[in-house]
Amino acid sequence: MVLDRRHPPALAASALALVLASCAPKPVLVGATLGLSGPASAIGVEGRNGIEQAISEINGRGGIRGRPVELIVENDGETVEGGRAAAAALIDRGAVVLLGGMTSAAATGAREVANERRVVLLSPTAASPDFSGIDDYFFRIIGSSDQQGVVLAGEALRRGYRRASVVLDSANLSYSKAVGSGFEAAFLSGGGTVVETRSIEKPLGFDFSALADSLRRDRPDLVLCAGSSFDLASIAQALASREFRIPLFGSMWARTPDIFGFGGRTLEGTVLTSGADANDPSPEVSRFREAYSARYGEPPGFAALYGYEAANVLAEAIRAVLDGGSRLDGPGIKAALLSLPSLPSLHGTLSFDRFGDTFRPYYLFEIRGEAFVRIP
Amino acid sequence: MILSAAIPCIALGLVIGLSFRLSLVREIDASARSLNTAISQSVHRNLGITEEHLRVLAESASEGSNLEPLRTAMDLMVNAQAEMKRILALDADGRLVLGIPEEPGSVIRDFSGLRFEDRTEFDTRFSRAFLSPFDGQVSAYLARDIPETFGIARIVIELNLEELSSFLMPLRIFGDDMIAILDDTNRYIAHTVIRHVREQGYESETALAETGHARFRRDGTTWLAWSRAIPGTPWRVVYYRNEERAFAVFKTEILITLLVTVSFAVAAFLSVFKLGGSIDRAIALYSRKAEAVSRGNYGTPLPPPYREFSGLSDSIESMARSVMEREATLRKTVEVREQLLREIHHRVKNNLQIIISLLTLERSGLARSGQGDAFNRSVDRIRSMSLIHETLYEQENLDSIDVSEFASTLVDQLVSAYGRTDVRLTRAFRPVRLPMDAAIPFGIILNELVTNALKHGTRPDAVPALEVRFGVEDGWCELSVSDRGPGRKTGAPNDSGLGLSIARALSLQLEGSLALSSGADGFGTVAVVRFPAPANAAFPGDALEDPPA
Repeated sequence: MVLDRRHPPALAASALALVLASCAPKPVLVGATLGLSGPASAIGVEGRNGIEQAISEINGRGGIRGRPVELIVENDGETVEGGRAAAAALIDRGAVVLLGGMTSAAATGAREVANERRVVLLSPTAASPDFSGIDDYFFRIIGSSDQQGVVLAGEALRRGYRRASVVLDSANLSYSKAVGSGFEAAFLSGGGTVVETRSIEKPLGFDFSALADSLRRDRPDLVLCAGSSFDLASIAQALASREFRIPLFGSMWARTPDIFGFGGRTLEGTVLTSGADANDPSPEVSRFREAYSARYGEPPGFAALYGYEAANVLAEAIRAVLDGGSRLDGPGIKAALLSLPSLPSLHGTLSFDRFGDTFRPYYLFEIRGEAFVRIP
Repeated sequence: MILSAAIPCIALGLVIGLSFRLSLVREIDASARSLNTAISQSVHRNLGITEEHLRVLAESASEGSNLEPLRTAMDLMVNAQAEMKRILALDADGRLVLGIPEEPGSVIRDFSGLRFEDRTEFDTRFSRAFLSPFDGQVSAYLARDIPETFGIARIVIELNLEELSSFLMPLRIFGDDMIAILDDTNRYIAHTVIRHVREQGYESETALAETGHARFRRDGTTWLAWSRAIPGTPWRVVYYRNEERAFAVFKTEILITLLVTVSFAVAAFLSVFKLGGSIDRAIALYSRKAEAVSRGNYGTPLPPPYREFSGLSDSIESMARSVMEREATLRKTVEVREQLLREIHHRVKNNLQIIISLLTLERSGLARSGQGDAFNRSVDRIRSMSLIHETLYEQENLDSIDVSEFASTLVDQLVSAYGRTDVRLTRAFRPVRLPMDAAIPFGIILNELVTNALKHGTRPDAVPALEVRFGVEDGWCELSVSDRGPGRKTGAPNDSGLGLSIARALSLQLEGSLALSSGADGFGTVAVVRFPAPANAAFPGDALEDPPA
């Protein structure tokens, strides 16, 4: 009684403290479907690291409108089925939005579920043109993969190559076929010829020796591999074991740091393309590179960079939804993404068209001394 | 009082609880550090076996006359040692010279991309975790460089990380604890939750990159983790404990401490509550006694309820004594002055009596010349004044006078002085106290009006009667004197005589008025004097009233 009469402020403060303690801001649950195991998993691992880095920085700044961001991850194994299962599991676990689908195969499965459940899926690196021009819940911050083929064809022609053999990874055919098509169209228009298109059915256990023998028989000026780092390095190892020296070209998917462990010196001189350059000297990329290296002990690759950008773009959309007082769900986030003006990225700005697609330029790199050296 | 006592109790409880928790944290920390040391040494011993195999292989490579002894040794070890997944013999450029198990279909011959840490303080070189070019699984390698023999410059053992992770499992204290081995990029080499290795996880808590301790929340669980370098390697071992479980081990002790703390706090709280009540009562009693002293009961004993109040009691008692002594002195002074005043009144009265006597003597001579009445009336006036002084010095209070008694006496004396014992007298005096400056004018007014009534208020055809009333009504003193005389007829002297003039003048002096009127039946005169009653003029007491005639 004495307490009540004489110390109402103290009581009120205590009550307020209790109320506040029980009212911690609800985290925003972000799901990530990523391929984290298997020979082509470097892109997924790097993507996860980039996303984690971005979320760590966002939370370090106090979250989004005071709400922390919590990341939950499912391993999709870079397959269509894996992407489908991972996306469903993440939504069931309460994710309000999905990141990932790093390969076009995994993104195909995850996209189906995202559209069914009306949840936005923002892919950092799924580049297949099969997803272009469709008004759905799928967004991406990478340009279409056929452009990778176009850029590589240009470089091949510039180097005077006229005969090309193309190797596609069948496990990610939606992507690799587009790279091959883009290459072939541009190569043909420049006077080149695609002498043969071959497939890697399943990288593990695949007979790369036989493939190397076939490529040797094709007598191409170059071999383009639209596959993973494991695919490209295995081809390089197989060709080297036969003392068959031929210029190798690889698509963006293969441009991950693990390629050196797979291929070693056999990859010397290989030409690759990428939509991001983690060694870019710009302040934004430098800052990211340093923070990433401090956290993960090694420099970031393109997938890390795209993962980082995707998470930040998503945070902007979530912030816009929360600012507008709309419901934080698929339709709300989709509307926010489409209405956002051009967004800052590590490489200039990016914006989505009405189908959630974007255009990013591709750069060329050459492997020299186990490093990716940008070709001017 | 209760709050101020409860806060220390709660604070003490918190201090005890926190101290216990801190000691628990220290205990857990110490045991975890010790455990971590043991684990890191166990891992070191485990890796030491592999290192020893490397040394044996290096010797086999350099001692034989061809590669067969090395091949045999490699074959034996891969088949016998589950922790070895593959053994490679590489040339100086990293190209494969010999690999066990042999994989005829494999195209992987160039291992120049295998990267080992740069530190050269160890005989054995350790790789980071990365994907094997053979199967795309997460792998880690130990290598030993040897003098080039049969084209072999380096022996490499690919570890079976699943086996290494299994090795960690029994080293845990509790089933939900975790142990991990990190490479120098904080990537998991081994983990009791093997998924973390398969999915190429990293430990992102930077505090665990060095020997250190971290507390963090992950996947809904709060973890306590300790990191320690594995001797002779660039790798680290991290021990993770579920904080809730770590403290749950001590739940009995925590419960007991909590109970003791709560019991102590409750007991202390109740004691303080009871003590607070008794203190309140003692202080209330003390306050009442102090109040009694302040009201003038200076002799009230004021024993201090607590030692801390001794000074206050002494001060109050000393003050009371001083006041008492001063009051006694004042009272004595007042008594002396009252005595003096009484004496003065007595002497004034005596002097007035002398004047009356002198006037009376003079009147005997003047009566013959027809001026006796004037003398008589003057004498009466002086007598009325003398009577007031007499009344004053005979009563206790010298400031004011109860005029009812005085008025009664004065009326009696006037009736007697005018020899009007035939008059039917009716008096009704309520107890009214008037100060001296009002009492004397009042006495003279009464004297004049009664004298007038006695002198003129009779007629032959009626029984003489005199009615005198005085009292206080609605804040006004009202004196009325009625007779049964001929009334206020034309030429009656009572309107303009000296007596009435004096009465009227003194009424005005009392800020009142004098009104004359006839009786209800047209006979007699009613003189009414009204003036404002002084504060506290009316007081409880017996009215002096004659019985109705």
